[in-house]
Amino acid sequence: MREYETTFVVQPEISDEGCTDLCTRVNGVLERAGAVPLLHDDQGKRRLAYDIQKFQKGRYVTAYYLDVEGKGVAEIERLLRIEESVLRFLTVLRPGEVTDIEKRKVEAAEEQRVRAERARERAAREAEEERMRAQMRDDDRDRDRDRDRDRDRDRDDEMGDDE
Amino acid sequence: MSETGAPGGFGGGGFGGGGFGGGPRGPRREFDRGPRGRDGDREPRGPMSVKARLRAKARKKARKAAKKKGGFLRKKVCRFCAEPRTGIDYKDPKGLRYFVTETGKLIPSRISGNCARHQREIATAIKRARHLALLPFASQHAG
Repeated sequence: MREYETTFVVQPEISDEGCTDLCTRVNGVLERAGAVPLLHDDQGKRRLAYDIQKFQKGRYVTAYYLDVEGKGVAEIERLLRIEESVLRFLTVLRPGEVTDIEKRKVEAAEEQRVRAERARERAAREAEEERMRAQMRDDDRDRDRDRDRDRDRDRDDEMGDDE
Repeated sequence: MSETGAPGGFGGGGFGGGGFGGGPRGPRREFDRGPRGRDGDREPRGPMSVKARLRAKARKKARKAAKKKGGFLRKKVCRFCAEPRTGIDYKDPKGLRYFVTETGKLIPSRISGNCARHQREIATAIKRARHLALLPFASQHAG
């Protein structure tokens, strides 16, 4: 059978819970259509290359699934079209035919684990960078203030010489 | 005569004209098809289709024109053929950025050096990425 991946862009204002909720609904629809959901890959919020519905950011999620009866793609796309929080979606057929569902499921579970790990690392790194940036901003402000103060003092000194 | 053709005698731009004499310093040839000399006394290399002959002629003409203009030709290598592990993924805008101009247009394979197959894959990937707003259709500030 065939494996597909559907990437969709969720509005940035949707909370993490809302996003997981959407993912479970996607899985439910897939299962009802006789498809086998494999994994969800949350790529986090990214800046959009152009505004969509006045949004400048979007959360990218990719769902991987096996379509057994051939109704999965139509059903997932129907759901995403109805869903107002989804800005865009794109379904792509993955190369290669899958014969062993259970084996692929195990592989997917493993991949899900690895990705979750990576997502956690990324989140930690981003938080760290954000902290550093904030720190640097503070430093900059301090330096600017010092510089201004020094300049004022120097100018005052020069004026003192003229007199 | 033809068997001793100098490596720099025909292809490439002939910068400095120092390719003759069989030295290894000749400019890089566009295609390595064995030694060759002047056109007239080249050994026939098996049957060639009409189309292939026409293509060869066009290539030769292009090379000559480039030589006249003082440009030089360098064999471009498709980076995906050279490094088979680098995949093409529409979800990876950073990797695709290299194949679009600053204004967001596709860069032709004649410039990027991709082979036809990978250029096709790149083009599809870019179009998919555009739909998902990972890449711009056109730069926000252009025009």
